[in-house]
Amino acid sequence: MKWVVPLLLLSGSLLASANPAVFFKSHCVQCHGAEKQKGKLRLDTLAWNPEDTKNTEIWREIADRVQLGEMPPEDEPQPKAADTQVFLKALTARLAAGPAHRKPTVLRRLNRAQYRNTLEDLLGLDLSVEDPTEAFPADDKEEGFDNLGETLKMSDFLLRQYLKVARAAVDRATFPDDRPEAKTYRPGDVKGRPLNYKAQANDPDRDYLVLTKNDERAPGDPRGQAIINCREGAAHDGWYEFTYVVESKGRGNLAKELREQRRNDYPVYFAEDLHRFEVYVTAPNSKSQIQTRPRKLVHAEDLPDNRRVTIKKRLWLPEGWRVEVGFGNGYWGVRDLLEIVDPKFNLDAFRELPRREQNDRYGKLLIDALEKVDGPRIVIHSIVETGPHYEQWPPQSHQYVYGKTDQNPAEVVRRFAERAFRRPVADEEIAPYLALAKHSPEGIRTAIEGILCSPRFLYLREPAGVLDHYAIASRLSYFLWNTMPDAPLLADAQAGRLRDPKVLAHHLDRMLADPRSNEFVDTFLWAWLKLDNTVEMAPDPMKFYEFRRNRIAEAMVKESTLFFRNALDQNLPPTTFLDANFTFLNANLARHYGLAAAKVDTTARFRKVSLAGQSKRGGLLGQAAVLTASANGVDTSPVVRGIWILENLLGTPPKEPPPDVEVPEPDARGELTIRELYAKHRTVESCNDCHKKIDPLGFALENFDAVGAWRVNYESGHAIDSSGRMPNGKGFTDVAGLKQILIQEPNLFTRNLTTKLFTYATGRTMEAGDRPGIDRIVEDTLREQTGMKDLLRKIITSELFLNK
Amino acid sequence: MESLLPRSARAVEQASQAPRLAVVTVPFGMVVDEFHPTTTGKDYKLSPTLKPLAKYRNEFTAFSNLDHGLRGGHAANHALLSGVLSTERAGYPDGNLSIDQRAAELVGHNTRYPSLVFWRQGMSFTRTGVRVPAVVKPSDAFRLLFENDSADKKKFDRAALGSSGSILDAVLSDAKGLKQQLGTEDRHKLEEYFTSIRETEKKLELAEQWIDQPKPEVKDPALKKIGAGSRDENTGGNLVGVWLDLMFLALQTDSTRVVSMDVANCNWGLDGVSESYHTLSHHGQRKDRLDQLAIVEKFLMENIANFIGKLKATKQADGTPMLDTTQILFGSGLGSGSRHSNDNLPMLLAGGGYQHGQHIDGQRKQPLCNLYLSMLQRMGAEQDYFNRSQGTLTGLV
Repeated sequence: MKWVVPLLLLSGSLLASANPAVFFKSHCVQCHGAEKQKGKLRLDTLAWNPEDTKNTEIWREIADRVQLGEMPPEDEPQPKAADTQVFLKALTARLAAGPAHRKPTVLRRLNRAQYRNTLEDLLGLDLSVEDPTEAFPADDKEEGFDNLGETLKMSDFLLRQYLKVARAAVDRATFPDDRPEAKTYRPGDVKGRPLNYKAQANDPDRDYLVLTKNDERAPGDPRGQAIINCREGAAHDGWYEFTYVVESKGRGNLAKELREQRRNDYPVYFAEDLHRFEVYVTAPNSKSQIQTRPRKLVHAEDLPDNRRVTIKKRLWLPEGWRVEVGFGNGYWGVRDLLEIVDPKFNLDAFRELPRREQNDRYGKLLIDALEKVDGPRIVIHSIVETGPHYEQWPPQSHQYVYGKTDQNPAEVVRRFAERAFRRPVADEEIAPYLALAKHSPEGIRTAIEGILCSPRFLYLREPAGVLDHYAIASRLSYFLWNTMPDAPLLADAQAGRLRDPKVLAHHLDRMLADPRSNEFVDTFLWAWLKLDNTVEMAPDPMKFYEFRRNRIAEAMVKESTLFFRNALDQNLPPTTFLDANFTFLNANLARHYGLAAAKVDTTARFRKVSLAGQSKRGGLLGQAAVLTASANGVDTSPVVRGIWILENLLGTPPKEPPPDVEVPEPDARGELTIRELYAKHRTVESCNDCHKKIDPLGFALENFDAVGAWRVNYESGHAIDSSGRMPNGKGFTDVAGLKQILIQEPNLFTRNLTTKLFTYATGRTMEAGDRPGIDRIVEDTLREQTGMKDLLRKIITSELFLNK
Repeated sequence: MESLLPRSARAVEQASQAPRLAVVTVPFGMVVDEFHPTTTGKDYKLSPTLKPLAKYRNEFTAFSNLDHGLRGGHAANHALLSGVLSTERAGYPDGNLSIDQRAAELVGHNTRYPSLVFWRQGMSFTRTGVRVPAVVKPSDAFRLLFENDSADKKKFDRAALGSSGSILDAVLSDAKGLKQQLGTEDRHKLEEYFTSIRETEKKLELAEQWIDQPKPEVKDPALKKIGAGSRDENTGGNLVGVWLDLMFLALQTDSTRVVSMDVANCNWGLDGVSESYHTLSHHGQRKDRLDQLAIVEKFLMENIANFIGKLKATKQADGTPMLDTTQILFGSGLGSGSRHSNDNLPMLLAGGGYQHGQHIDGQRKQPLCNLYLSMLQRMGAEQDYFNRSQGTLTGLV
């Protein structure tokens, strides 16, 4: 009866509506009171003042647990549903009545990606080929996000990088010399440049080139057979246009022979996949051997069989950069291709010949033999390269720095500063830069470099409290594009229209339709799902060989990205992420998933695939990116995955284990099953308290290995048991069952997703004071059954978003 | 592998008695029962893993039951050299400053590079909490150490330095104006910017001195090949030796006095080892993996022994071995890789002029930062704390 004493001290509201008090007394305090404190939690002394910030957290936790049916536990007397509702209603009303105390966003430094994107827009540069920010230190992260004001730091190291990159960027933007003339290059045309169109192992007597194989062991590996446009690289910075006429031939022929060729047990050529044509760029590096120059994929395209295709590619190439093309999914096996194509060919004897003779003859021999049996290959009928091209001279970027010929330098600097600072500038604000323009012999460009190192450029500044229209423009732009606001946004900022929900909704539609919004999808998804893990704890290259060879790592991220993009474009409800009857796959990922029936034959393009009858794969929990990010690249742990789901999908991270707990030593010798190993969680109450929430989620995913492939047994031979029971007593037999349970309670997932979106959009972590605002949006979304685009609209028009 | 000591590359005379620090870390722990000796004191018995170091028994000290009291497995690994997780840095006066970067603050102004970080980024943090980027490829390290910049590059650098001074003046005055427009929290954040300007001015001054200083000359063909990228894409079995050689050369040529390297996840390419480093560390007591790990760990210790040996054999100008003033720290942020524990870390200290030849059991009472404090004091630090330290390490003289 001890608990009655504090209750008597409670405010009248609880006593007046007696139900919540009775509920609390009979269902909570019995186990968390003076006599028993299960889970070391005592509630009888907790005052009924949820709106008081010092108790808010604990009352929220109580509300969450009761709402989820975790409390009271199933072995205790269960309350009537109506009583629970009354209790929750009273509690949430009080929680919402709390003061909206929240920490404002702190002065946000542009992170590396934002800085690079902004530099591109500001100077009119294309930095997709050569990234000047590669040497930047990695930005710190919190909760996976690397765009939070509090977390992002400035250092002298970084400032020196800013100085250096500003100089290099202005160098690249400006063109002091005369306009270079555009030239045309074709294979075999060696007059223009040395070693123009070097083709490895080709036949000089044929008037077309043939790609036969690709021994690239991993993306970016430069060993693949490729045709290089020029050993010297681009003559000048500029646009170069490439027109390729290519044809895929012989696909599927020699399928058996080629399929027998394996690396680490994986087939290296899949006859069922369309041939993939790829374009790469490689960095200039006169010092190193070609072999060590990694190449960067800039274009990939699935080719139809036996039909000429014209592919045009326009690339901004910095001076010295080269372009290569290759047969992306070409054969690469242990045996020489010539031996397979022509079994009578005596390779050993051929290898006795002088090296040079081998090199001269091999290409012709191989292509002759390959054409005889119509073996798999890509024929390049023609390549035409022209460049450098410029839209105008001097290029726009030059004008951004130096202005038009008759423009007053002070005016140029002011104009540039306004764009760089993303708001109008006062005279005294640009005075230091105008002085630079006057004092230095290099004048105006030094001023521009200075502006690029100014804190007004490097930081997103927001006034305290209500944001001004320019701050809203930047917030919106860095949220949806990860770069500076464009002219229409700034125009509406100037007109003071950016607090109008209709205007904001208009910009949302406009900005999501712009390809720059892919920056939002990619970056947000990467942070939300902690996809760093797919890179940092990358799967063992030997154990998961095809993972690298077939670019599974990139494919899985792309799948989830396309899934998110689709949910956004189609305005699907957030619960789509919990379960869906479709996904997006290429041939490699479909194979990885064991979904041969999907009949995807493209490796460059992803196709929307129905998952009817494949209930285990639908939604995020069946996507390899999530399953890899929640593993460690070697093996899976139900505990790690369970915690991952609680943290990243449901937003209810478990408490740290008590300091004295011993983590069990994993035992892979096969004597114990993983369930037996973790049985301790179930018997020790202090462990079970959290692990009854963690373990079922993790065990449900045990059928997915560390890279998300389906399995029924562990390596040790033990059969996998993915059944479980949620803390609210609901049982399931496998992951499909788990998803059904999760989707019935969409509140937690939706709230977590909304919280993460707010974190990303505002550049700060969400706190107790933000909860009422978030909860309102979640409630509306679930009640109105609205979709992802509506969710974004609700976010950008909310007070949370429009205040610092 | 063959030694890469450039017989003709002794361009820089060793600065005598200069304190130096070399740090070698591995990411996935060691097999702890094999690593930690079971007896303590001067006459301790070498553990199985430490056997390859027998020849230098009196040049190093082994430690057990030393750690930072952290948990989190891989997620706590980055705190090995600081004792402070990046998320808790706000609670420490020096943030999560790592021992190597503190050492660089002390001695870095003497050399072209205040410090160098090799192979894998992630262990070294500056006072402001910034992760120091690593030189990932041996060829890039070679360029930094031995390749003189082209006249164009020097011109660019000198011009950049020239305009940097006036740019820094301009942005400083701009920042002062901005500060007046900011609220308290934002002003506090902007302090980082002011600090960075001051530090940058100092560092640019130092950098200017080095632009025209020629780098040490290299004639060794094997070393030149490394410069050309011959070892960039390689197995761990090859890279460990290459990186240790580059570390040695960086110190020997006095290009830096603080150099660290963190072994990346790799395939070893060693006889009898077929699985990757990370996979092996998840041994789960499987014999086949433990056997492979034993080969890897023996290989690592042999390389450390070589490294110690080279520093011992190399004399400074005053005739004393470089080893006497070079402290070599070896360790891992994980104890057992299989258990993902962060306690009882495998740690060794060699060189630096201590009375070595013993095994010190920290008994989980002394934090690892006590060792770091002892080491920093030996590098000339006048401070009586380092992050989590409670004093210097008892027993280390």
